[in-house]
Amino acid sequence: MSIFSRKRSVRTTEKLQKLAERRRREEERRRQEEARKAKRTRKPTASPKPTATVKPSVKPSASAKPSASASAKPTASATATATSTATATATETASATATATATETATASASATPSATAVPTEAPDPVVVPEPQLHHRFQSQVDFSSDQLEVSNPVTEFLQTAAVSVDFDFHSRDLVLDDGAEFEMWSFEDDRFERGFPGPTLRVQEGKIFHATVHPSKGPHTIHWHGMEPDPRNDGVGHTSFEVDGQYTYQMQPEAGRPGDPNYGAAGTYFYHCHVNTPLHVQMGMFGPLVIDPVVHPDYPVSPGARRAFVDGPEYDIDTEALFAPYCLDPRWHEMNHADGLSGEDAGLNRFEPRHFYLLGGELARRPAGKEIVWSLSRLRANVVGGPKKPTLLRTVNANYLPNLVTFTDAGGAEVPIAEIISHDGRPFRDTSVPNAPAPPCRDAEYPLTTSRLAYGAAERYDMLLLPPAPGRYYLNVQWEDWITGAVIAKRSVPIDAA
Amino acid sequence: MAEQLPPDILARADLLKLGAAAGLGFAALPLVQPAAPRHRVARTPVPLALAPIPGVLDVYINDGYLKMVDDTLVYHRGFGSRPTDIDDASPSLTMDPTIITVGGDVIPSRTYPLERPLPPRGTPTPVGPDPANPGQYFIRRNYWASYFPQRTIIAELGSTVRMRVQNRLNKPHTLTVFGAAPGGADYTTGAIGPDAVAMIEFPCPPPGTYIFADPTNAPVERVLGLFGVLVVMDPEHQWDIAADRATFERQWLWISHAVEPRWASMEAAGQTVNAAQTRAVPRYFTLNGRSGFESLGITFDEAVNLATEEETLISGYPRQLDVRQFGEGTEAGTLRGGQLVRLVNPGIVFHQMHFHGNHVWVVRRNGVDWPRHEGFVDADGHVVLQQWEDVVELEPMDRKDIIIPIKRPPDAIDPVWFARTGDWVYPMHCHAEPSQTAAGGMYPGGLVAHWTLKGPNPGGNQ
Repeated sequence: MSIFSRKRSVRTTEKLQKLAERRRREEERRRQEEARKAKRTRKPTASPKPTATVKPSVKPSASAKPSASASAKPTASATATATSTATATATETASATATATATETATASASATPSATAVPTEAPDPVVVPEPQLHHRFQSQVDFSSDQLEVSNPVTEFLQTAAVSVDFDFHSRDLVLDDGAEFEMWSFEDDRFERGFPGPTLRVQEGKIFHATVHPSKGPHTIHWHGMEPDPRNDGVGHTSFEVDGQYTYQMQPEAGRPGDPNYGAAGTYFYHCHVNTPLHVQMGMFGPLVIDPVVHPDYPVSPGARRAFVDGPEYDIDTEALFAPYCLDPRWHEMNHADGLSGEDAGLNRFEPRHFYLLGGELARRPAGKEIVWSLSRLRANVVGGPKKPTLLRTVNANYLPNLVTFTDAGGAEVPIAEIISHDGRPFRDTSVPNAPAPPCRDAEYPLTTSRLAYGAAERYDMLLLPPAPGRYYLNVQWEDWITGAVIAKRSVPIDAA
Repeated sequence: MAEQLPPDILARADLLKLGAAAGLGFAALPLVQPAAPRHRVARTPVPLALAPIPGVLDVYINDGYLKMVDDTLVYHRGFGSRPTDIDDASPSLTMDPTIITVGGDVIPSRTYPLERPLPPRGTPTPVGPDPANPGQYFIRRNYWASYFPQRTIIAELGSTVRMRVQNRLNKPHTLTVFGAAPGGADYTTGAIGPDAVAMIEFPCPPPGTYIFADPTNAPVERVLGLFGVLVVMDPEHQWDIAADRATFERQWLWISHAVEPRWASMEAAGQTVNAAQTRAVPRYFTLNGRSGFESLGITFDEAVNLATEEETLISGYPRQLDVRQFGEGTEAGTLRGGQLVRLVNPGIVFHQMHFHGNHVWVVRRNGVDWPRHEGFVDADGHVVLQQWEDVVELEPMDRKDIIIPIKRPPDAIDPVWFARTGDWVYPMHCHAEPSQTAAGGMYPGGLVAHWTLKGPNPGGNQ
């Protein structure tokens, strides 16, 4: 993986920023000019992207609407025909008559956020009519689907010196997964994790500038940094910014956490994925894990061999830290092409019927590098409570389109509450019950969120400490559920060896 | 790979041919449906419209065809505001938003509170800039009205809800308000026979969000469109979820749904769908009745765009806030809080509502306030504690209240933030990705929206 840190001179940086600013303005001018041209010349026709199965797109027609001419409307002058007046069955007393007394109870005390004491300026007339929110217009859904803004080499605004930079290429390979089945997979690759699945594992520390340059091929792609919240150009979504044809360097700076403050901090578990024709591209494998590590605060030092999950979070053992991602695969989808469905043809992308079910991941410190490797979870280790080591941190990314239930069981199959959930979607669980006071993590507020089961669904992430009370074998069990009926459609388990 | 549709579902191309061939109105459509009409659903003569009764909300169970985002027409049933027939050009299949006041009035209105300023294009404008926090604004407190989508009833706490329901179809139907009675029980009309009228009257439940729907042959009638949402507001706390609960700048009601044309076609042909035998395969996914580019307000129909911006597309000016104390303004008339979004899923799909740009703060599920202290993991494996999320689970029949902070995106670098000159638009979409399609493709054509962090603006003196 070509992660590196470079230091440039101030002058070089200034030059680059000026260059970037000039490019940004040029690009803006070009976009505006293109938009003006498009407005002048846009015809209400679709411009389908090339696909192997392209069909003529369907244009909307006003005549598709029903006509009112033949409808026999009832007259409005009829008297009520109150026949079977089935009154409501409930005759409860009005227990819901909450008294409406006190109005505001707000005490204008300073919050923990900075500069909360400023006085508002005199109120102007607030009724300023904003512009419509997105300026592009489309005649039809197929126009919109097939006409996302593609830019060859968009410019990164205000390019900074990065602490971590990576270069990702697109790849497409037939890969063998852990059940022996072989499928065409698409994903991201770099120098260490070539043509593998899922995409390379990334770690970035809070407060540091992060760059990731994507080099798409076989059509435009983007990278959306799911859960990270940069400006829209760096959010990686076509219709709110652009799709990338040539290359683009995404830039962001994960927000640094502050002890006891629920308003700040990005440390936690994330994933990145392509946001072009997303149902297909993510299913094809265009995603990878992203971990944001916390800044180290002097009040929360870190022991050797350990790390904190977030700035004032618990320490965990680096050696056994692990990640798993439920993923399932519909073989029909893996026969498709990049832009299938975008030109209006029925690609069946509303029907996801997985036949293969996987647990991706493993110990983060031991992800095997190399070519065409599928990172599959076969076992976990966990440190026993009370032992010499810090607890094991288990991260999970739901790379699935279906709901999942995770359970932890002992060797006999009985559920055991050995997981303490500490974070969700990159944010710690905190006690926020006292305004203007520190909001401690739940374990420090003396109600650790300990459980034997966790329900979650597509794109959610959780971080949990594994706290087995005694050495021995435990199991991590994952079941997949139907997205409509909730019926269990598959199960997988991996052993956890506690020592 | 095309999905094999039964012959009685008209493809878009068929409709277009039909329309183009003779300039036919849709009145002719049933004539070309091979399977119809063995048992025509709407009969003639149909019952007449009801004479209004003061203080009573009239609801009509109608059927008809609705245009999907790709112009396909799909058979629907719905709770409408006026009596219409199956061949009506503009069938009334969704109720116009209505307010039931504590004074007993029934007032058609898509905004609440009544007689409050309307946010321009749905966007509440700020008091003015926050000089200590560049690029941010002081937000008006207890000021703006909110827009609501079709299918909304807003009842003020202390009122009595009185509805008269006319069933204009030839099978029995029911209107049930789920979880609104004490102890979480339901209020229901019971079965309403063809042509019959039923009254339902009940004391307004506690402030919150409730689904009403037809539970007949569940979930089939709901999937066909027989659902709506009751929002209960405390008239003394019109900008609070409830007394002593989170205060908001304005609120949004997001109603998700999944359309199953195969089921619709079978029901239109007089059959009764057995959900266990005919597995649901939704083909369209809606938010407040719209999908894809219509839900994003980027059509050439300005009326659709405006309604979408007012009802669905969250927008606001960036502000400082502290999640420990939503609703606590630092100065008179200002709010350090966000906007409330009521997520409601009367549909059948497990949705995963993902917000870009800001995490959202979840405060309540199905009428139960989540605690800020002594949270726990429930028996199903869900954490019950107020929390940040960027993906909010929304199971079928779930209602969740969330606060979107509308704050500076935390991972944007300073130079970009301070150079900002325009709006920043972020997507919201369901991450159960098949819901992002329409008719098997056309991404992003399903349950999508976006929210806008407004740029520097003259209304904010900056």
